[in-house]
Amino acid sequence: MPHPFSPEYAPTPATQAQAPQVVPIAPAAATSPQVTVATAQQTPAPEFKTTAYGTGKPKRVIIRGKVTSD
Amino acid sequence: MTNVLVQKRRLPRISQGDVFRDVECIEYAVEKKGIVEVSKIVFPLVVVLTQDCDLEQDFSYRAKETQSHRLLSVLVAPLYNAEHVFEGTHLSDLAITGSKINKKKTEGTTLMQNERPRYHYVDFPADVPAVASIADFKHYFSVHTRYLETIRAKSFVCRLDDLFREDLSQRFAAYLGRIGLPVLAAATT
Repeated sequence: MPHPFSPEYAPTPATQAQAPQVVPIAPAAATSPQVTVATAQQTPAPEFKTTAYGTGKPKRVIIRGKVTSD
Repeated sequence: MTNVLVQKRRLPRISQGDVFRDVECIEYAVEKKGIVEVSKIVFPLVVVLTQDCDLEQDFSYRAKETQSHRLLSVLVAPLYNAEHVFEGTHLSDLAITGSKINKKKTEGTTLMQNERPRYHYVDFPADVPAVASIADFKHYFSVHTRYLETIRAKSFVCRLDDLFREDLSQRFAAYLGRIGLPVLAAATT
């Protein structure tokens, strides 16, 4: 399946059928593939990137324990 | 825009260019009055810098009679979230403030083009679950070889492809071997 943000990606017929029911689509947006591509390019990074590795910062962890004799 | 190619399958051994997540660096371990205290820093991402031939020999010569090729530790460099580095906040949880770097000015564009010796910018491909990151060669550290092998299965993220691994390796070697000449005072006669 093409990456959602690649030029080859196109909405599925089911999505096109449901979109008018959920979100009113302006005629230009519904009929202009250029607008669709532009919108895709402006959307945020895929969800997995926001939960991807490396988003956080290094953290210090201190562990303490009691020495026990065997 | 991605600037590296990666392999997503890990080799049977640790290799140069491997990217691991949640790697621990032990700061200190002390015992006082019967209480052991261990302080460690957990890095979200690191990249392996040790030469691949050394890693290969460490792996191949394990069962041999002599262990002269064994590695005690593996050299790695932390990969910080690029956005945090530009803000100077990538080490804020360690109470360390970095300099801000303006992405749009020369200081930022040269960094992202890997023209600043200290840093190595990596923008992972879209199908790799890792954010754009910056390796800071100044913060290299070592981890015990066996520790890295223990966490490898769970913590492996990806491996830089050969050419990009060599680029990282050469840039790190050049940074380590750099000579910082002192600024000489003007001679007065």
